[in-house]
Amino acid sequence: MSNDEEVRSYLRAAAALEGITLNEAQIDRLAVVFARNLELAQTVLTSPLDVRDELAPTYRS
Amino acid sequence: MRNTDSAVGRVAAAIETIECRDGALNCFTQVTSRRAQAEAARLDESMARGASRPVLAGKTYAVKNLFDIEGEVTLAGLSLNAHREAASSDAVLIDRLQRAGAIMLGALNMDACAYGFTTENTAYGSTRNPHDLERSAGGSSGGSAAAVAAGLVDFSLGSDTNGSIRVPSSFCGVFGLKPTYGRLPRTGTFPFVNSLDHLGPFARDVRTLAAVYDAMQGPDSGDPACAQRPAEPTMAQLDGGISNLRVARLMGYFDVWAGPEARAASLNVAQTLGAYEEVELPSVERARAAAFLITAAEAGQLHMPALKQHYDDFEPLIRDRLLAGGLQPASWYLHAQRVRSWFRTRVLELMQQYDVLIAPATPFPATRLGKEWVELNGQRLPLRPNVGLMTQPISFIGLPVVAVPLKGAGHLPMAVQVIGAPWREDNCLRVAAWLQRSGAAYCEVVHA
Repeated sequence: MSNDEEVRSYLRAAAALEGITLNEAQIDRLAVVFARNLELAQTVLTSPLDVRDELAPTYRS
Repeated sequence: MRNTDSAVGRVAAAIETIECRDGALNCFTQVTSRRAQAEAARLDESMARGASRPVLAGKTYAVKNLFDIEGEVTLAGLSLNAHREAASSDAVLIDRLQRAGAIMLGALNMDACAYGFTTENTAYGSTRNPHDLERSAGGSSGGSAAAVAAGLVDFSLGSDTNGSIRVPSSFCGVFGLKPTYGRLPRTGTFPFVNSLDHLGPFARDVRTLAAVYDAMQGPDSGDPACAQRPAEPTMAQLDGGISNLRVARLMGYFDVWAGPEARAASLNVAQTLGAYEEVELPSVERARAAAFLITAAEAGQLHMPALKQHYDDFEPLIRDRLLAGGLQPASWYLHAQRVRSWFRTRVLELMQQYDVLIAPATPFPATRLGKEWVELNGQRLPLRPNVGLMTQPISFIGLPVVAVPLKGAGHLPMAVQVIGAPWREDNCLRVAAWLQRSGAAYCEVVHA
């Protein structure tokens, strides 16, 4: 997702899958918040970490 | 003249103080006077019969309104919840405090869903800072901190997901303890972010803080995240001093983003403790970003059913943040969890060299209610999410912290974080007690 229209399309589709229909004004507001989260996600996703770092239920003895 | 030696007398005095002062402060959302009077009468009768004095006998307290109180509706700051059924029993921590002789006076205001740092709540109003009524009490446990600062209660309980105990401690100038993640059971409380939620107390002195904390410890099967560790009481070590503790001051991110008052507070405490070593944590900005994403995703999913049904009635300050979080791709959440694991490992390596780390609790003192932007490190930033700049990376990995209040340069207080290794709340409390004895820490009832 690199531009505003991609974000808006994603949000419409993701909300629809949750059973939520959003009007354009709601999409506008949501896109602003989501774009901020996207920026944070770029910071997080650039770290060179792999699946071994995920938490999982591990039984040790 | 009222006899404040008796629990009944103390409760009557407390109710009178709340009636007289809370109109201006807006700390309480429910005052449970009848219950408090009944608890006080039972305690006095029990003492008159010769029963031993419980450790918190007659101490008055109140709880953030996300704790279940039997017979009351648990609001969690949301007016939508006002239509829910009343709680059928008390939260586990309330039950433990009652056994220790403390008397509960009611429920306290908070940011809706605990998603905020200012206790500005559209449905229940803003809680005002006792030091300056035009300023925020901090949040999300703002009612809890303000009620203690104003002397409405002896202590209170709050919750801390990203800083919601430590931020209001700093803004209101009271002691606050955020224990290790998993130390205190959350059974009977309304969740916010399951993998980050902590509960803890506020008080005006470290002795009360430690006594309340000790009374609440111990495992409980109702909270799967609660560690199966026996209680590890801290009171006996409070006066142990600090000579055998290795203390360092956090620099890097924690210095760069600190405003001048916060930087001075951290330096002042470090010097008072004789801590001249300075250390940096790695990739703190990334850790904070990951904490944001995890918070948004877990809280968004938690509230998704309510958002679907009642979007228009949901708290407007948070509904879009929750919905955006609930719609995040799974890859963001999973990668944020990997960052958490990596960051925790690096910080624990550092904690092998130090027992306690010092950092500011907030980047600045209490801000004016309604303020939207703040200037920090040469940048103009949205205020509300950035109040938690200093706290969020620490709770992200569940370390125990005592927020220690200091007298600020002006009329507003500030707190520093005294951060310990996992399960070493005792070290944090020892340092806090030493700072209070030395006069560096400062907290008294605000009569404004």
